[in-house]
Amino acid sequence: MSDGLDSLVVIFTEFYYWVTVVFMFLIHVGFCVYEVGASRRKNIQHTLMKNTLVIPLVTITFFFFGWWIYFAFPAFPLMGGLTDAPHAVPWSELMGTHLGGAITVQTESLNVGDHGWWARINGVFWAAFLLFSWTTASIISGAVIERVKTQAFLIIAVLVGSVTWIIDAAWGWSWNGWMVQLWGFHDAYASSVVHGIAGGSALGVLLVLGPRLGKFAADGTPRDIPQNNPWFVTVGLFLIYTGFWGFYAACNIPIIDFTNVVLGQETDSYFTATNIYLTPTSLSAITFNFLMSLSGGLLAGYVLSKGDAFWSYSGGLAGVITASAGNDLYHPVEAMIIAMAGVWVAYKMHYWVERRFKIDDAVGAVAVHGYAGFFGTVVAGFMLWGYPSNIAGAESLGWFGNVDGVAAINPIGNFLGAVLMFWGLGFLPCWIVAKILNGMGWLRVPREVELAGLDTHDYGDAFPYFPYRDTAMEEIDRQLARGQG
Amino acid sequence: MSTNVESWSDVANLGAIYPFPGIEWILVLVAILIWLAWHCWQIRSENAEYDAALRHYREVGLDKALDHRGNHDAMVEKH
Repeated sequence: MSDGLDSLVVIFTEFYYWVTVVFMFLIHVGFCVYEVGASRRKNIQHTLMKNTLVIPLVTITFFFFGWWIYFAFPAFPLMGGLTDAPHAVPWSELMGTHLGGAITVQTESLNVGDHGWWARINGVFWAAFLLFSWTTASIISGAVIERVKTQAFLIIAVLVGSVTWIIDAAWGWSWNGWMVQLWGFHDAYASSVVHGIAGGSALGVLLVLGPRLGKFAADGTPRDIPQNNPWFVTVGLFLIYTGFWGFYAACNIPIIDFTNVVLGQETDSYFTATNIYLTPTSLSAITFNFLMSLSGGLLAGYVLSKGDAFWSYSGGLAGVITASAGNDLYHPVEAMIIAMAGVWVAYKMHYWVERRFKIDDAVGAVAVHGYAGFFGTVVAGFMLWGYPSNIAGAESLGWFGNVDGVAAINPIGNFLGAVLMFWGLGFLPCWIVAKILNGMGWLRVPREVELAGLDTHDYGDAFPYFPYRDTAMEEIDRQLARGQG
Repeated sequence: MSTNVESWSDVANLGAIYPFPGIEWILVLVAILIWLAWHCWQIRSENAEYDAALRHYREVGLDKALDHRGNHDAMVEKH
């Protein structure tokens, strides 16, 4: 890196992604705090360790194959075969400490300039995507607390965190992904790419796993299982909000010569930030829209739940998730209103699904991430109908309309994309794997262990200096232990 | 001998600077084996723990387990 401007761009980009990774770490801290608060006292440490182990397992498997999938799968299967991705295979020199010189591997897809770039960017870019992977897996964790075996959850976490979500990212969250090129799919800040698939995955597991003992009365009426610490739940959600700043920033490319590098024109340079599709946006745009959608979500959550802290905070999160698909382009007030609508959908759907299908989603993860993400992706298809979905000069034409020589964003493409991510890549693989794990006896803890508490025999009480105070749920546990209720 | 770096003076031509370059395949293979072995150990360990808990609850009675929820030591002492 001898050219001053080039070096500055590369090293700024390297530092930028590194900062996003640090911020996004807070999302996982938030999920852990939140789940600990939502669990009953008898299950706290099991809950904490289950989600903590997402970090090492998804990290190493994302190193083994997740990163390669992102670069290998964009065209597969509808636009071609697997793409050569020599910088992303785990045995590549560029998947380690490298200064960019002494090239030993040079292929058609990795020239001298790429080598210098990937030597500096590979680790931080990998880590930014990895933190999305943790988030995607961790979303499922909350839904299944208090009865899932850690082993089953961790296998599902690897499946979702290092395989299925990154396939959807390759297809629909990459400028050359076939969903973008053919369907005009647009989901800039991952309403479906991260949240929709995670919600669908959680629903697939929940359907096989079943509700917590005592969640539903004999007549099917759902009971509220009290959280051990509502304050922890809200602090956890606050931490997730904070980490979301890093999540949003990591979805952008911070600086690129748009005219010369992206468009390939030999004119004056025009430097800008872009989204993941290489179309222009700015940090200001997403800051406006992040805060306005968060605010819309909080306001709607507060009204719908009549001031309940859990749903007000979850409303803030669901609001951001709903607007995320189009938050690179929306007006801030549009983002706010879309967020409010998404929270209404998520809240109503959560309770309807709970009553109708007896699904026990312990933290509302399917609603806040899945339904809100799905709805937001569909809304973006209408709101952004007619924008170019990616950069001019791309080779393929879209199935549902074109503009400026590329597929236009459109309602059909975004609806199909939301369905594919929630049901096809989310629900279905996890439902199948959960069925297999259940058949092997690896999915759910034994009934007696669940009633006594997952911490009781192994970890012990998380608060040994504080006496227990029974709630109505403890009496229900006793009835269940006697075979009643 | 193992470092691949004998001087920092020609930094522009330095590539991989970790020790033992060229054995990446072996490192990855070892890491994958560690990963799979960890899952096997964790599954066996967790299932053994639940089996032990079940035996204990059946011995002391589930009511007692519920009375001493989250406090295994107290349950054992009062048994």
